[in-house]
Amino acid sequence: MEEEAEAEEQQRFSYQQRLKAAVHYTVGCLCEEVALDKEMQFSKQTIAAISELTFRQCENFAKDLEMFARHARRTTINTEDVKLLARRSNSLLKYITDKSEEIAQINVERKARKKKKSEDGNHNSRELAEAGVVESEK
Amino acid sequence: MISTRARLVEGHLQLEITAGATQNDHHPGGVGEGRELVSRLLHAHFKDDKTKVSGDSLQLMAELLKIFVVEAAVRAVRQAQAEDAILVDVDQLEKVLPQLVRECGSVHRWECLAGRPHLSASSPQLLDF
Repeated sequence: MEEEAEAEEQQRFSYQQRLKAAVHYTVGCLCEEVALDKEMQFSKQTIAAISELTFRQCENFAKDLEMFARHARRTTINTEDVKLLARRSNSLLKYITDKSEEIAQINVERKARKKKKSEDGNHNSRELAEAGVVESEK
Repeated sequence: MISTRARLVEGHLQLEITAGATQNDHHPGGVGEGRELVSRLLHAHFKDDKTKVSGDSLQLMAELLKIFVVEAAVRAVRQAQAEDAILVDVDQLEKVLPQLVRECGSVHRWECLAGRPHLSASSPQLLDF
C-alpha cells in the first residue's frame, strides 16, 4: 500500500517537472525574442529564474481565478475573472481588456465563417477552399 | 535524483513540448504559452475538480502570461543597461521582480507586506510561507 502511495507521489512530481520544463522552454523562446530585439543576452540562471517565477505565479493566478468564479457562483472561469487578475496596473488592465475584445472578435468571426461554410457546404467548393486558406494564413 | 528523473522522462518531455507547439499553430493569435499548456498549468492548482476554464479565458491567460514574461525580461534588460552590464543576470532580475509581482501578484500575498518595506525589497523567494 505504501508503494502505491509512493508511486503516485512520484507520478505527480514527474508531471510537475514536465510542466515546469514546458514553461521553461516557452519562457526561453520569449526571452530569446526580447534578447534579439534589445541586443542583450540573458544568463541561463535568469531564464531559469523567470521560468520558476512564472510557474509559481500560475499557481496564484489559478487559485485566484477559481475564487473569483466561485464568488460569482460559477464553476467556469470566464474572461471577467481573468481581467480581475490584471486590476493592479492600469496599463496591464487596459492591455488585457483590449486583448479580450480582440479575442472575442476573432472568435465571433471564426464562428460566422464556420457557420457559412456548413451552410454553403454542398455548393461552391472554391469558396470553401478560399475560406480554408484565409483561416490557416492567420 | 532529479536529473535521473529528467533523463528518464525525456522521451515524454519531448512529446509534451512538441504537443504544445503544434497546438499553437492551429490557434490564430494564440502566441506565447500554448493553450494546452496554460490549461494544464491552471488545472494543476485548482482546489475543486469541477472548476473549468472557458476557451476565451485560456487564450486571454496565455496573453497575460506572455506579457508577464516579456515584461520581466524587458525590465531586467533595462536594469542591466542602466548598470552598463554586458548581460542580464539574476542580480538585475532580482531588482525588478518585486515591483512586477506587485503589479500582477495576488492580493493575499502582498497585504501582509504593506507595513514591512524592508521585506518587500528582497527577492520573491522569501515570500513563500
